[in-house]
Amino acid sequence: MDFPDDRVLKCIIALAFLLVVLDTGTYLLHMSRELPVFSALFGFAVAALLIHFSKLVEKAVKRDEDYYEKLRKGR
Amino acid sequence: MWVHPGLIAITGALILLISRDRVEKILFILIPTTSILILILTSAGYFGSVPFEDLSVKFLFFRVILARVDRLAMLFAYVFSIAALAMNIYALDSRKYEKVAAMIYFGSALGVVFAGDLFTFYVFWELMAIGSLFVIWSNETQKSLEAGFRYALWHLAGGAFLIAGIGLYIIKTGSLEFSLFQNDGVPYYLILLGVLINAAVPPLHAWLPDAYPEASVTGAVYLAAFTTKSAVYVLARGFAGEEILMYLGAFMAFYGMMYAIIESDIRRILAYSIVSQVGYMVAGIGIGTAIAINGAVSHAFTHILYKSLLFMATGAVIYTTGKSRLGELGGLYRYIPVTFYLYMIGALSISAVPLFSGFVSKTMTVYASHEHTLVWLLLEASSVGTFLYVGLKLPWNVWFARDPVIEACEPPKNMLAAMGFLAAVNVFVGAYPGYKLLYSLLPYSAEFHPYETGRVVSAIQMPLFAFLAFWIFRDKLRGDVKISLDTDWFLRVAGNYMLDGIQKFSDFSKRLDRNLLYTAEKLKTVGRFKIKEMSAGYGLIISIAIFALYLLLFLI
Repeated sequence: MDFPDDRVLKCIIALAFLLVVLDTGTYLLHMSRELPVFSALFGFAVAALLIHFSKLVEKAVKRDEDYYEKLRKGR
Repeated sequence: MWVHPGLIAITGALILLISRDRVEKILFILIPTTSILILILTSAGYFGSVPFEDLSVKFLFFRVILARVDRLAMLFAYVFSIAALAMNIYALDSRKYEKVAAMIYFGSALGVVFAGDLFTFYVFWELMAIGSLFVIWSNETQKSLEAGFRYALWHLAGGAFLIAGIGLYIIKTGSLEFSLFQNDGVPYYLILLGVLINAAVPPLHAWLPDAYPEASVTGAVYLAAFTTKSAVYVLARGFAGEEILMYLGAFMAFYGMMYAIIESDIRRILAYSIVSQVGYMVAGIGIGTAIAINGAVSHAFTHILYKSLLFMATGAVIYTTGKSRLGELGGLYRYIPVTFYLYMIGALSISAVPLFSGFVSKTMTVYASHEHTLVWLLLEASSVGTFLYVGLKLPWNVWFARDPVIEACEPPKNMLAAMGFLAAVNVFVGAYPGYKLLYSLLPYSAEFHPYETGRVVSAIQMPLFAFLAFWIFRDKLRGDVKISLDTDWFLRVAGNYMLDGIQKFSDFSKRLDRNLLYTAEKLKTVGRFKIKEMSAGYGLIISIAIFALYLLLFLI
């Protein structure tokens, strides 16, 4: 019997893939903590990632300063 | 008999009300100084060997213990008192009203850490909320008034959970004992929920970045120290080893850090930074091992020292420029270099750079999380992020980044003295953690040596390379003049809908009133029943009769 919906199958595959990546990533991270210059690479990579990720978060949560006033007036 | 420093502070606050000018200022400095002296005498064994219980009275069927003095309580009391001394020097010229509120706030925070039973704990806990509310309101602006009301609502909710939990806990166990709580279901989780609101654990944190930046420059310094750290104390005392706290804390550290990076108001950045740093403490308490709890409480200790310093320095910037947005500041190094250096001592401390206070506490907490990779990853990433927003983004945009857009001068001497004092304490604690000020006060005897070569090299490498990344992408971290939506959005929108509903209900009632009057008028003219002649008493009796009939029908 086929799956009732293709999207369910896709979700299961995506979840399985994500778990494998997370597990592998966690394992590699756990192992690499003992490597030399790990802290340097970690510091640089995380800082760069955070700066770029923060731009995405900004788009989602930043609003004009009078946002709540407008909301109140629009009521 | 032991002298309770919290009661001294609260009594002092009441005397402050009637004192003036020089006496007021001397008393304001004397209150925390007395507290420090009492603590030193207590440590020296003047009142008996620690731990001990004192000041107990009989209340109903229980013995209420006003004071329980042990190592955990002493650690928090010491740092509260040292910070309060610096804060009072900083706020020497603040309004009397704020001074009184601040000392009640300080005294009740001491009351919480020395509380020997749940009853005393709850009384001081609520008094602390009232004191802090008045500290916020003492800024006397429309924004502080509104933020204060929202703050009060959060804390009323927290207090309600707490008293419900405590009541049920006492009914279940028959004891007022304030120590490690037994997980017996609903009461346990109600108490935990009440405490988590004060600890500002997301999504219950929105009151903190909402209210703290609206206090005065001096008021914000007090707020940064007591409420969340008292909650950390209660978690360490009553919920050590509760696993969910480990994950909540790690998430909290990352969440607060992320918001601090995108914020552009200098005090709101620091407010989110409190959420992030308290996350380390909550995670440490959740891990629950001796070294993790030591790490958590020592981080609370250092956090109060460096966060007070950071709030003082940013407060000095606002005091001298009148601006708090990163986009409106810049190039201030030319005018206020001393404030910059003092700020940077706080920034290096929070970033856990060796020789500064945060290093000796944060490394302990992160070390304790090694076995939990996800928690460790979030804490380490938050550590890098912390350096990014407080050590780079904020000082870069305030003191450098562009030519000066506004003139400024160094803050008054008392403010500089307070910052200098705290900067010295931060360096001292960071350089000599084993000395009498921190490691000797920790509640558990667990060996930890922060100054191991590998740990020091790692702690220097990480911020240095984070700096490189910042320098490459620094244009992306310029401040703007926007606000960030947070979980308080739900409350504010719900509040708007609620007001909307009330308005509609009111309109409906008015229409209903008009229709009833119209009908009554008709009845009056058509029937023999004279409505105008009916007294209010008859009206009440008829209403009660109808209600009774309704109840009767309902019961049948």
